[in-house]
Amino acid sequence: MSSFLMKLPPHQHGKYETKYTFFILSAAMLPPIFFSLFFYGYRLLFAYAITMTVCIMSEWIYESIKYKKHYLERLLEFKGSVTGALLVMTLPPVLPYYVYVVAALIASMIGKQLFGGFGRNVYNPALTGRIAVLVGYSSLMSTFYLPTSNIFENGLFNITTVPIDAVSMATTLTAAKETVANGGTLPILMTDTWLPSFLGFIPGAAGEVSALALLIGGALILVTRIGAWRIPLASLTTFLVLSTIFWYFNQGYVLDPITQVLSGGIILGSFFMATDFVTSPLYSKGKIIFGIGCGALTIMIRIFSSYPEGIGFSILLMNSLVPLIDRYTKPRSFGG
Amino acid sequence: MKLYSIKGGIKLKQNKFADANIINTLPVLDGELFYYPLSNSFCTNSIPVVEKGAVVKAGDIIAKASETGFSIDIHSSVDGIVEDVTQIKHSKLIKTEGIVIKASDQSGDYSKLAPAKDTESIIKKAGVLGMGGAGFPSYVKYSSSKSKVDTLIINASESEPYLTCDQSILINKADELIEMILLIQKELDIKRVIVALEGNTTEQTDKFKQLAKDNNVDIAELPRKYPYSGEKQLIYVLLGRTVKKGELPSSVNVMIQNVSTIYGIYEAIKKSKPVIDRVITVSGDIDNHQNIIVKMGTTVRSLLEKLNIDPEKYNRIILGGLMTGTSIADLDVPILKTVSSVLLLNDKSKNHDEEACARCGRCIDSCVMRLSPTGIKNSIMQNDIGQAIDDDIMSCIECGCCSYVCISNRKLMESIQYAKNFLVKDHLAATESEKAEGGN
Repeated sequence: MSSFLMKLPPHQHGKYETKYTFFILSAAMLPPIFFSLFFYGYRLLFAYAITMTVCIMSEWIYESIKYKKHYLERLLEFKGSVTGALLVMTLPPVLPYYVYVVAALIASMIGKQLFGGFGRNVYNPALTGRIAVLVGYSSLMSTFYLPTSNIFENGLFNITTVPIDAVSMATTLTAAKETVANGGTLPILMTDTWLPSFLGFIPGAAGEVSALALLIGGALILVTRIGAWRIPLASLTTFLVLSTIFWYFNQGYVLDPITQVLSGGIILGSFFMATDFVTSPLYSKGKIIFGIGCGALTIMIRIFSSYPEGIGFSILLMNSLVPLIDRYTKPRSFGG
Repeated sequence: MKLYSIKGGIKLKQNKFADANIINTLPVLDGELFYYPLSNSFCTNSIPVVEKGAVVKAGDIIAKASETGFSIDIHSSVDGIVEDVTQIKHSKLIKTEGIVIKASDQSGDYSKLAPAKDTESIIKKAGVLGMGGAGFPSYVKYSSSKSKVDTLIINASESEPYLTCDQSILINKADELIEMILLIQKELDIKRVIVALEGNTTEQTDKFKQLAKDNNVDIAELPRKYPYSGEKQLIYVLLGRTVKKGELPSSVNVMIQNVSTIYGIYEAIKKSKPVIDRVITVSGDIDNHQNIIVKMGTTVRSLLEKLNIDPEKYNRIILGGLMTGTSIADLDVPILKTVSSVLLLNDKSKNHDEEACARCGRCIDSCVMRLSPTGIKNSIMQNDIGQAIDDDIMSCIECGCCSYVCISNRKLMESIQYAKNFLVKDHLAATESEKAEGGN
């Protein structure tokens, strides 16, 4: 008698859980990851393995200390793998392995656990790690390479330095910045870079070079409603509109909008980082404001600052505004 | 007809196994005990008028409505002897004052209601409550609706899984329902009547639809989404009118009644029969799903015994729907007017721990009242009830969508329900006394 389970209503639960959202997010990241492996070879596979292992282990140790139960289950949830993979995607394709370890540790420990673990972090963990190593290893972080398949294999076990025969090359954005700084002018429309930029045959961070792969993954995120469609839409629209305005009035000194959007991390950031639900606003109106802020700040930093790329800074800056945005965009209740 | 769209809601698995075409009747056995609590969700403190050992007939008044607050007469549902007036079990209140009657020598008849001059007092005398589940006394609804209502909405859409009891009434009692609807329409001088049906109902309801058409009653087929059948949601979806916070449907000139309630009113007026039985759905993970007429006060134990269902095979018993019903641990609780179903479930789901909010916003998207369940829960956890009240915690209709969709297994609706029932009152009392002290 009295063997019946007592529960409060509702007596059923939907099929979605946090781990499924991470599963879908990981699936969405596969196209850009495959493209990056195709372009930069096996060395990057090690990079992914390192950051994901560091992030998963540090997350597992932290949660084990915090909850003190379900140790094995928590390990098998692979929390932190998304952070680890995203981190490599934002970093240059060839770095000494220790930089990955440092970035991953900063991302998961300072970016996430210091705030109280998953769900409580204010800043996007992957971007926190990226910005930290950007400041700490600035020369390594500004060296990019032309993607050519498998040329780095002989540097696979080279732990402290980068492989010697890699072809170093500036990104489109850096090159443009340098040209203008040296008194040169840019072509008004860089039509010949459009197709390679879209497919990914340009130098850049490991995961951000191929717009095509990012759009495939981004579409999956939006279709499964893991990320809010309002954020990437607002961000990219603002970015395009503002870059068109700046380009129109400064032809020859500012890259054309198509090249702007296809190079650098704006697509990666808008779809994969800004939509991170932990660090983005709760309400629809707030999401639009957040997206507009990300897009506008990115183009501002690209044009008016000494940094060639600004998506990381602008997302982190908007992250810190999220509590404020949430406060002022709370919707009125039905009939209230 | 044109429907207004509303934000929020979720799609649930329907699981409507119980055949709505057939309504069975549960027999009464001699010596069986029936329980009648004196308090119900809205109506409290009826005063017992019988003593231990008194002989009662079905339909006899055993407790009179008190003068204060909402209160209704309580009728015996069987012929028998008053066993005791004592503390009895209740599915929601756990224990409450009530009357126990031992059934003996069923005549199958009932004592008719004393004649009354108007509909309102008949409804009050018959003890009709909102039978959808909330249990709001119908006579209050009826009297507050007089001379200002232009639209009557009959809620026949059961968006909860498993339930088909309202649909079974719609199919089997079509003539009676239409007769009653027309009578209410005439009496309250209502311009328009809309019957809200769940979308893609089968041909079984065609008879009702045809009858409705012949009598200028509009039929609206709602999309299958939970909880579109909520009162305020239904009014908005059908008419585009928004019921303001804390107001009743009569403020936007609408009266809204559940279809079972309408049938209860029909029986009271046309047959002078008080509410002594109702149709409930017995379903869940069992084999013989059915709709069955059950006398008020029947215990869950005797219901299951008569239907040859072994409760030991199941680990959950729920009175009411899957989303809003009450889980019971004791088989001796009685079935009351507000219980629309008994669900027996084999729940194998693990009881997950609550995790930190991932801020995914699913609860906000699912809320039909456009609240922020996660924000309100955070305020409650921080003991900031003032903030929760500012965020309209009292507007919550407790549909359970937020807890259903939460990816972090947070008990959102449960916390909000607790805060609404206990913390908000304490908070208001505290601020009130603070103000009073400040005044001195």
